Amino acid sequence: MKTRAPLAFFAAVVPLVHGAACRPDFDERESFVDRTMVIGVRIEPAEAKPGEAITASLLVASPEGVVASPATRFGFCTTPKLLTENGSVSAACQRGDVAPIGDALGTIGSVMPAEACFVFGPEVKAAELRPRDPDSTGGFFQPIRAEISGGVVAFGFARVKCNLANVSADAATAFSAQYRLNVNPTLLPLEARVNGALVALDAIPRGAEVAVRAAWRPEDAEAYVALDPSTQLVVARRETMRVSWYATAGSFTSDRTGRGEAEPETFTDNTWTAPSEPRRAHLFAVLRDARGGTAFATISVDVR
Amino acid sequence: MAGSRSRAALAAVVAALALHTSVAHAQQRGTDVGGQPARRQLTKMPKLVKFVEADYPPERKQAGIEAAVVLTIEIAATGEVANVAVAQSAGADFDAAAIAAAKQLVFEPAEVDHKPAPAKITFRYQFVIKEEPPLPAMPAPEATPEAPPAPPEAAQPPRPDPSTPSKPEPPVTEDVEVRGRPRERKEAFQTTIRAEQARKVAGTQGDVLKVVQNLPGVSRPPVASGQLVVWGAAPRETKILVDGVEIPALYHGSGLRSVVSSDLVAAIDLVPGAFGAEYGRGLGGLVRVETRALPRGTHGYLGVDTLDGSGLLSTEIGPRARIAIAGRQSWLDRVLTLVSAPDVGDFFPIPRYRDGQIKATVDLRRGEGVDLVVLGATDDLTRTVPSPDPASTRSETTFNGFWRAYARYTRQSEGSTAIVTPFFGRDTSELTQRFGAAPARLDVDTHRYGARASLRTRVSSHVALHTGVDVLGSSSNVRREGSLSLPPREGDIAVFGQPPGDDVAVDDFQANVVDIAPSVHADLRVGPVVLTPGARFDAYLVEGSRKTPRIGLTPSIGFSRLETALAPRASARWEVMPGYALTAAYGQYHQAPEPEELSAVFGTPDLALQRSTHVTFGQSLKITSSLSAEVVGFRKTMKDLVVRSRLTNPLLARSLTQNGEGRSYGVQFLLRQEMWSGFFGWVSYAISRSERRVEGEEDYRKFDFDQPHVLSVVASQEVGRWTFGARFRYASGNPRTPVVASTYDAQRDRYDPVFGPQGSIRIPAFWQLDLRIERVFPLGDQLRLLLFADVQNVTNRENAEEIVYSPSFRQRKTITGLPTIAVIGARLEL
Repeated sequence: MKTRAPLAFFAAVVPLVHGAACRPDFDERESFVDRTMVIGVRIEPAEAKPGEAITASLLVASPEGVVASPATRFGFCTTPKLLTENGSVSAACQRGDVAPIGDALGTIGSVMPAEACFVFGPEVKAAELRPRDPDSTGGFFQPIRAEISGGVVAFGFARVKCNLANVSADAATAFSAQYRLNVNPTLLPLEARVNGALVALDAIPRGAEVAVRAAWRPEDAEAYVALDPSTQLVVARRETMRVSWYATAGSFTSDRTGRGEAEPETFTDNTWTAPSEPRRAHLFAVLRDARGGTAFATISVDVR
Repeated sequence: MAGSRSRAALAAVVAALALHTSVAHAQQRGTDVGGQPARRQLTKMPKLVKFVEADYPPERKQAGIEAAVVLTIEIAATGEVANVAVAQSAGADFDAAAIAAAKQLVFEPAEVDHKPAPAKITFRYQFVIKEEPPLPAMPAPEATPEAPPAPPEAAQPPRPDPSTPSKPEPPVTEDVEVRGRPRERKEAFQTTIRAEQARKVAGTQGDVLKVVQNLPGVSRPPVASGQLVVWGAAPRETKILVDGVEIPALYHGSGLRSVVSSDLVAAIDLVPGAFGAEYGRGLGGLVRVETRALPRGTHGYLGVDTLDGSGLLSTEIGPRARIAIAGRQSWLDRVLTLVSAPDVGDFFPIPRYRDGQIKATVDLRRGEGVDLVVLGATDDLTRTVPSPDPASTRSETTFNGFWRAYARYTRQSEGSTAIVTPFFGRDTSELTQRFGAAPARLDVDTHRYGARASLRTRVSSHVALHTGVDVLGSSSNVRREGSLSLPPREGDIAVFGQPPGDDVAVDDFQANVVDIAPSVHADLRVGPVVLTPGARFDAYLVEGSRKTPRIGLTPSIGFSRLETALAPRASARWEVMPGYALTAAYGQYHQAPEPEELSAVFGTPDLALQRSTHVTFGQSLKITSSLSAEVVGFRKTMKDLVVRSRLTNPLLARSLTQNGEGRSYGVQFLLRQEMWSGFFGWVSYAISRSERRVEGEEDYRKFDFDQPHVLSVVASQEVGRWTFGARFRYASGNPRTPVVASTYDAQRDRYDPVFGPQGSIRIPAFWQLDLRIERVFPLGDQLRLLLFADVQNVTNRENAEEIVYSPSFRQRKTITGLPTIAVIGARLEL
């Protein structure tokens, strides 16, 4: 299925413009659960120093709902991605070149690797080596590989607290004094409304447009400090909050919604269109803050 | 017969008078084709001593049809007609009659500096049915060197009764072009297209410089891209020169238009490799644009089409000076705003571009003159793709611009020619993107200055010596922010649309590069063989303000070093027999790193020169006076190419290394028909391979722009005031790296591709047919209106332009190119 006809209009007046080319439509919605898939990995605590205990938990969805206690093989990535690689982790780690943590049923406890700040952080063992660059929040992450049955591979990222590199002593002191470790947010129970009124989850009308709200506590969108690499100054930031939506039936208007740094609201809304036939559907919401904190929520609804 | 003789004698007088009126213009021509000076003093015009009357085509005469054929006649130094070509057709039968007669003309040769010299004149041969004896001699219309021929009606005498006996009108000379010597091919292998032909090529919307994309050796660029990939070299490795002055790009950013007004272009030379010692700083090829000599009188045009509006005005300023001003402004974004939703520009990248040129020519003294030129062009684009997800909101702002100001001084004296071209200018490139919270920014602001000087001295009748110096200085301020993986580099493994990494680094530094390059080469004629040995020596002074990344508030430590390179060049051409020649060329080339590559954070301050070696061998055959065939084999090897570091733990200030190696090789074929009976065209086909690898790797991988098969067929036919053109293109698709699986990134909520072997699949092959139709409407003696329609992809083929994947990488499809579209435009010419 291609959208050639609508775009041809633009092409008629925009010859050779890249956007006028015909981009294919894929019959794939990111928010539609049509297979067993990992949709979230929560690391507790959300930020830890090397050597500290951490726990990784998966949220696995399937067309039948949440997969409880999925058999999972966990491992720590041991090689950073090359400069030629554009993904989140190295190709070696994607292939399974990891330090094994162990097999578990969706949740496993371990210790943040002692080398994390050297391998994935800004610390170097020799002065001639290039420090890693932080993400836009100033963070560094230890990737954790999780493989469930069927060869489905997902990566969780444990934010690791490292020393700053290449900064002045004043900036390092200010940063250390003001920085607070990230904390996982809490996702409040999902609310569903039709025409502005709360509806019972076991009696959703067929084809109804259901307003679904995901909310969090005000303190979950945390204020934090980061080093501005251009000015070398410590600056105040506030976490953005994103919610990824999933459904086993029906469809969401947006696959993801959220709030930016400047938005004070503590909720985000989406619209779920119920299927046209009676059936049970499972809705999932995964809340992520900008520094890697994660929370899950799931509801099951009956469409009548 | 007596009548014919009398008409012939009269015609000779007319021709001589006509030629005489053109002497001044021949002396004042700015440049000959190919960028070579033509300011030698014309001391004698060619004089017609034997005229031959053309036979009036019987059917045309019976039908009462009159016509005028404009011919280009090359006259040898002996006075014999060496070549005749139709510059403006009146139909095959009229053309054939005029050519047959013109080939029998005999002249007294032109003289340059009082020595017989080849010349080229333009004749208008008018076929007029009239009852009266031949008209008395009339003055020729004022010559306008390199201006389009006047419409046939412009000089047509009153028409008598068509039922009366007929006779051809004496020829009228429109233009005289005199060369001190026959035009030589300055480079061993090059393709030259005259602007008059280039503007008629289908699919170019009348843009002369866009024809470069259809010349042999040039890969098909991606849609909406102005990249030039020549003989397997990366786009940045091919240099663009206007009158010998380098400019950063030939096209505006989207490839929609070239950056120089087509009406200021005389000719384009594409040299895909193995060029001579005069040029350097590029591992790939050369595109040389020669601006046209300014005509006498007042001329100009005003043009509008779907994409933009443009205009040019040129005029005389006294007897010694002429000036032309041209400009162009795009309005595509405004057109879209009128016909579509107001926010369409947020979703579709609508380029906004503009360019302008000023050229002034001053004749100083005999054999001495100067051209003053200012060129400039800008592109800007702003778009935002909003999203309810803050991490998915994307914004992009780009600005690219440049300007150049140069003076081209030319002096010719007995046996020598000197050209000096000092210049200065500025290149500005600003890119600001934001992918959610991750910023990406690259600003490069470069001031450029330099000079090119050359002296050609004829040592003897068999030896000419060329010496020169080529100086280029650049001072760049670079600011970059974002991920190392953006912008991508050749060899990066990624898929279309994949977001960059969210790692953030910042660098802000200055870099200065000054290159002084003396060169020398000689033309040695030994019987049928011309040898051109030469050498170029480049001394680069490379400076930077930051050798290591910034650490806190610590003052930066700069660097300075000298890089040198000696580049031998040689070519040979053996005229085995008249019309058949063998040619070979060899050369070594090098290229300095780009300023942004000298970053201590994103690049490597210690980068040295990249190097390549070109070897070519070819043969050419002149089948008829206007039909030729050429076969060229080439091989380029490259080393010390700049690539990203492959180390798991890169070294400080060593994000880029020079471990890259490359090679490209192939054969190209060209069958070309010059203007004949109103027709011109060519068929070019190249089979080639371009590969890269990193030192130590056993196997080469395919170059990101590798296209093994490229075929272009271009044809244009004039029929009276109509011109019909067609272009067919076929090209292999560029290599891509397949995605064989994917993994889920639970922090960013996206899938990452797992790649198969690099470059192991290709975008499906491309082919497309374009048509062009053009009609000229004379509007009195001074004006004419030209309307054209350029219809692209007339078969509405869905060509694949890129491979894309679904978000989870479970499905693979292609983005297809443009459907059938027509660009309609009009030009009012003075």
